Amino acid sequence: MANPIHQFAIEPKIPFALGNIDLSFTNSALWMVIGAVLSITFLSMAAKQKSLVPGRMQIAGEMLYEVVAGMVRNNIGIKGRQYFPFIFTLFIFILMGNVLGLIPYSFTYTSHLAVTGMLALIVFFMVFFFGIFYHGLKFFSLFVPSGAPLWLMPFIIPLELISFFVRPLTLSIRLFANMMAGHIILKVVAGFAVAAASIGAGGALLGIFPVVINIALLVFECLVAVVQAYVFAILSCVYLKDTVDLHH
Amino acid sequence: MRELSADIPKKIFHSLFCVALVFITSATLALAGDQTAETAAHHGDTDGLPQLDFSSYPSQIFWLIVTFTVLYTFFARKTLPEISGVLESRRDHIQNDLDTAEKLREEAEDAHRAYDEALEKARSEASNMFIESDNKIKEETTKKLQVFYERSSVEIKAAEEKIENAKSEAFEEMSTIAAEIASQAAEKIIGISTDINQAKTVIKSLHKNNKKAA
Repeated sequence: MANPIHQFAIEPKIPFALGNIDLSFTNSALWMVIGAVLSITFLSMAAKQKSLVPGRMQIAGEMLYEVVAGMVRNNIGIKGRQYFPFIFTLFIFILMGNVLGLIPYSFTYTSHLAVTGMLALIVFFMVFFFGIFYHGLKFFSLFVPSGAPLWLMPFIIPLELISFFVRPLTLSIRLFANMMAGHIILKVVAGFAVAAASIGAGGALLGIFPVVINIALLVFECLVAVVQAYVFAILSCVYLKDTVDLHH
Repeated sequence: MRELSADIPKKIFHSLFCVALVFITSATLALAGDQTAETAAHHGDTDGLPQLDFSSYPSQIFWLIVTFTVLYTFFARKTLPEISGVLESRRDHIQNDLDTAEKLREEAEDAHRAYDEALEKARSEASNMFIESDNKIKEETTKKLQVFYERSSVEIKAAEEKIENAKSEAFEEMSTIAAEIASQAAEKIIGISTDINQAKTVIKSLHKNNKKAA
């Protein structure tokens, strides 16, 4: 029986290094490229038609656009338009990673802390950078909630600071842990079926149950894949809102 | 507070974003590189969680940034403006159609109002005309009736006079005849001659008495 952890192993396809830093083209990178190519192809085809009455492809692309645009508009506001391409890319990139990862023998790059952590850090630094760019030092008033009594400040300010700096951690771990746990469960349940089948004819019959459970789990994982991409994008919106509206 | 989105033009924003990405990447890569060297030095095994194997971090982060930047550039420069253009043109088209429909509806309403007004006007005119002609007819009728009454009353009076005359004449004659018959009857029955004028007076008085009795 295969180790359920083994599916997350990074295997170099094309070794490549820059100085002493290993930048090999791995299975992770391969699926990132596949996801990027697929999404670009799909969206280009969707955007190519430009007809007044959209076809299937076009309406799917436009729906995707409207969903993310609505997310940005509702969570950041009209000033969030500048972040729209970023949120859209983020959503598509994570969605591709999650969904493509459900294909057997593929690799789920969003199940790696390096990837989710990097994405979360990008969001974090964007908030920091644009917050200071737009508001200057006033940005740090984010940690001082307006309306709270003065004597509460020594408690509230550290809390706000912690909640601010813990954001990239929660954001990245939520996604990576969800993806990893889902894939481990799928693999373990599938392992039960294989183990049962290896006993004999009776075992093979018994092995039907894990297969049925795995089908249900796979459907559930499809849902999780979309929901987690959505959650990541929407939380990024919420965080980026601080850069346009300090107090809300 | 400064006006926010107006500060950075879109193109500069995208370039800035990419530069920031590259900067963060290189910083992270450098850090990760140090980390890699350290982990490799301490323990070369790969038995633990692959997610915590820091030696794979530089490559993952590098390819993440590469694909993400390509995706971002492509979406921000090409796909999203195209889709938003299509959506906008559709919205404009629909709005245009709605506006046209609204204009046409207003025109139809105006026409309807004008029609209603004309109808109302015609109706009031017709009723005026009716009242007028009715009044005229009534007036004429009363005038003609008046004339007729006057004439007929004159004629009736004349006729009455004539009748009265005829009546009195007839009465005169009848009383004469009656007197003659009475005198002749007296002559034949009793054999006395009578004065006809006296008979006449008698009859007249009789007639007078009759009238009184009546």
